[in-house]
Amino acid sequence: MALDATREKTPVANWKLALRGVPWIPAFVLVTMVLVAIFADFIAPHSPTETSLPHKLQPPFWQAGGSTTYLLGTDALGRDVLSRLMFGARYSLIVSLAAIVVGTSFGAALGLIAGYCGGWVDSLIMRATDVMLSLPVILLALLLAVSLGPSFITIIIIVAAVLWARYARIIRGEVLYWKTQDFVALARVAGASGFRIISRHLFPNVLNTLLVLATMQVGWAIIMEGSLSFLGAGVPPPTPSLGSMVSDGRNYIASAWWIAMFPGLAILLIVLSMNLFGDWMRDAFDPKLRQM
Amino acid sequence: MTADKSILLEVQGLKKYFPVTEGLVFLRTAGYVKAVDDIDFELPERQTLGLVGESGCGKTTTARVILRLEEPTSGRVCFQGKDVSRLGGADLRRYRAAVHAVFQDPTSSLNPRMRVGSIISEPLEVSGKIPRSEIKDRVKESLDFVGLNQDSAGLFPHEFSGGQRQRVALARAFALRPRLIVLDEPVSSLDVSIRAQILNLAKDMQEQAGISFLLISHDLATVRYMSHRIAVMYLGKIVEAGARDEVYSHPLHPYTSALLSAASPLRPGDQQKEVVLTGEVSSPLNPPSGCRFHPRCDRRMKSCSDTEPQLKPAGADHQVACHLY
Amino acid sequence: MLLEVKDLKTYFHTRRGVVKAVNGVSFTLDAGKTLGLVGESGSGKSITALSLLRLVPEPAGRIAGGEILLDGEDLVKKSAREMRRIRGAKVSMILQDSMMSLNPVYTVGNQVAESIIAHQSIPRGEVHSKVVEMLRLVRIPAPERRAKQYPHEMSGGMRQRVSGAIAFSCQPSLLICDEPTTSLDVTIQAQYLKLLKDIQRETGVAVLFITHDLGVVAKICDDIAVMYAGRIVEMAPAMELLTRPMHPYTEALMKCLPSLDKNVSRLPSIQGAPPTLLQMPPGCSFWPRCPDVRPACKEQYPPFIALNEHHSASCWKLS
Repeated sequence: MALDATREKTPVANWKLALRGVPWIPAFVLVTMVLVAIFADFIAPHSPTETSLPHKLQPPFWQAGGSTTYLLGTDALGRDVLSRLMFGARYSLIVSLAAIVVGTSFGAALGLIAGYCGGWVDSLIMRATDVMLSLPVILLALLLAVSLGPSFITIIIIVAAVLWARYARIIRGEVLYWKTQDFVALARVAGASGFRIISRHLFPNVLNTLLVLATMQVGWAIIMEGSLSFLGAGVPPPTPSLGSMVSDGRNYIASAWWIAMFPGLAILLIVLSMNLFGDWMRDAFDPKLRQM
Repeated sequence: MTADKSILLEVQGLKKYFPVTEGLVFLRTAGYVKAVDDIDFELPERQTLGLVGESGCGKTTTARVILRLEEPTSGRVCFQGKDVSRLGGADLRRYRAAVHAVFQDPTSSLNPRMRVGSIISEPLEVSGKIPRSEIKDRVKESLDFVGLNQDSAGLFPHEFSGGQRQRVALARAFALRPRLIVLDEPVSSLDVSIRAQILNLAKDMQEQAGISFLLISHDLATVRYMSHRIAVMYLGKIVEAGARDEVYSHPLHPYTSALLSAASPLRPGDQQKEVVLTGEVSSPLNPPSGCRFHPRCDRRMKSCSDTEPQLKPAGADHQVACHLY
Repeated sequence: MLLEVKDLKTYFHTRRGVVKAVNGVSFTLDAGKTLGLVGESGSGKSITALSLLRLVPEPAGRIAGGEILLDGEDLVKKSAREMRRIRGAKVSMILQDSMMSLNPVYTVGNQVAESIIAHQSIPRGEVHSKVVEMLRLVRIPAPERRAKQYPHEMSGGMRQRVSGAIAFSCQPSLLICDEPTTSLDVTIQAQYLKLLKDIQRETGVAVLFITHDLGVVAKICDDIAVMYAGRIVEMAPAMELLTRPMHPYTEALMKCLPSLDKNVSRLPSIQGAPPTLLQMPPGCSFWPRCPDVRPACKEQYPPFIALNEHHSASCWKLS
């Protein structure tokens, strides 16, 4: 009286199923951005830091006075905007991804521990997140930047420090729900250790939320990095980042709009694509939804 | 019924109170919900004890204490003569390997992110009793026993129907060949036509592997089918207990009679003699004085509201807590 | 005859195909009588009830055919506005989960009053006394005090009574009960069924009682219709159906229930599980699980065969 499992599984069908409904435009934008960031050294027409004062403030090629040598124009020091954009994308992406990875891991770990243990451990961790969430973000970031000195690592630490508390909070809430499910009780009945319950039962069930949150926050991290650079607490010059480029261009916004506009557009595109992609991931990673 | 009478599980004077707190800033204990209030029973090897009662009577709390998901307020749960709440180290590991459970809702009791194979193998891995190389075979054997085919191991729980999920839950509980399985309402969430399959499967397990069951249910017919002995609970107390045939053919406690009468006669002709209880189950936070059933009882006497009846022998292998006897 | 349903079909259109949730259901119900619609999950019993009220979730679900004649008027042809008037005025419903069907932020008195004001034209000043009267009708003790309580302050049984008070407050001629006692304890269930019967005797309402529990049906219904995979497979007076089931499904269903008054060493079980409505077997939908399959069963759906004036079943073995 063997009962048949209901659905046949073939690898091809699975792939098609998994890829169904991928938002192609955001995916394309993201892949292009990442490729450009990786291969910036080979495809950038100029060095991002090489100044050339005779060519300063040249407009993009389609405007009067522009030339095809500098496709998107030059900045106040005569640096090629397009090349800086490519390298800037690299640094911005590295900073935000690294910050997300650090912040997510730290926040998720604390959230899992707080939710699973409960009691005073929970109270302690949650009060810490309360403190983190009630501090003014920019002030905190500036403070850290000043005390640690602006550098690549500093920015990553700052952004991660601001991020972790949100993750901890949301993941804890999720854990509180999953903890009441019978399979957790049954795991305890089987003799599973706390570590095993967290890693095998709770973590996989919150992973979804975590991934979606992380994707959504990439945009936020890029903006954060941009704001810090804009305020002068970011990646030290002359290294380009999208945020510092907007910052540099702001004095010329009336006369040379392209300096601030293109990095601004790049930030917008990345953030928007990431958010759309995150929306899709949330639905696609749920095995129950995927089946329908 | 087998003649083997050695006691596997013994519950003595078990109490489980949950504090009720009030206040916004300074919590203080306002009272206790006496979910389980001084109960005793024993479960012999290779037998099934049916614990019957309505919601809030404390039957599930009893199960959770036995499974060590809750600490008892007082009293003891002894497994093979050892106090369960004092177990530690290797003894605890042995206990965890010997006692398993199946809960009511198969959707909640299977981790949606784990494949069925890993769900069933978890107790095997955790126990450390089974060499890694054998685990796969044991999973197959278990799946086979519950009538699921081998490919099921690679699927996720949501790819199965409710009845099949409950089979997976049984396969997991059975995988280590435990001594005791706690069945907490194992069929109430299943369709009527599926229930018999699951109950028969559990019976087969008992026959083949000599497993004892503690069956918790509100359904008297299911309990009659599965159990050798039964205990009826009301508001945290056992009001009647005994051998199955004794209790079903001569119910003594008025609550048991009312339950039996309410539990759906299939023949419409039986309706006339139905006893319909008035009133509702009182709150376990503030149970009535004396006999806890007396506000709803149709045979109450003066003494019922004053003194609490004790569980006393009334016939061969039959105990009742009621002033009538 | 109060209600006559003729060949009702309700289909759901999903990405994976058309689900024929209700596939040609016909029955009649007289005033003051109770018809039990019995079936397992997915048998279409709840969708039948929703169809009668025209509450099938659209646009996925749609009444694809048939007639629902209430007092001779076809509800299928009514406009949405006319249906709103009929729901509540002529037909009301009691659902399984009273925690869901009552609004947690209003007192129960408020909710009963709302229903009274919506369906009866009585002066404002008399609403309160009417509320108390309705709560008394469903035998709620101390109705004045209870009217001021919120749903969460009441037990499941009391809440289900409030649902009853709301349902009766518009003096319906047809009451649809969808598993009203399933979430209640056994002893409370018995109370509730007795209450429903008493009110039916007082008001003469016709009741369509939907349940999966054969024991409950036995207690309250005059007639029983058994549903399987979207169709009624057998229909008969309660006593006759329970003592002389003719369809193999009904028979098997009754045999596989544990008995309360005798010891059974092994229950016969129905093999397999109900079919998914997307992949219906050809012919009779029960044949893959049937102990008595004939060649005809796999080819064509059996006709509804009348065994006597009141008892009919659709099975090839009866022809």
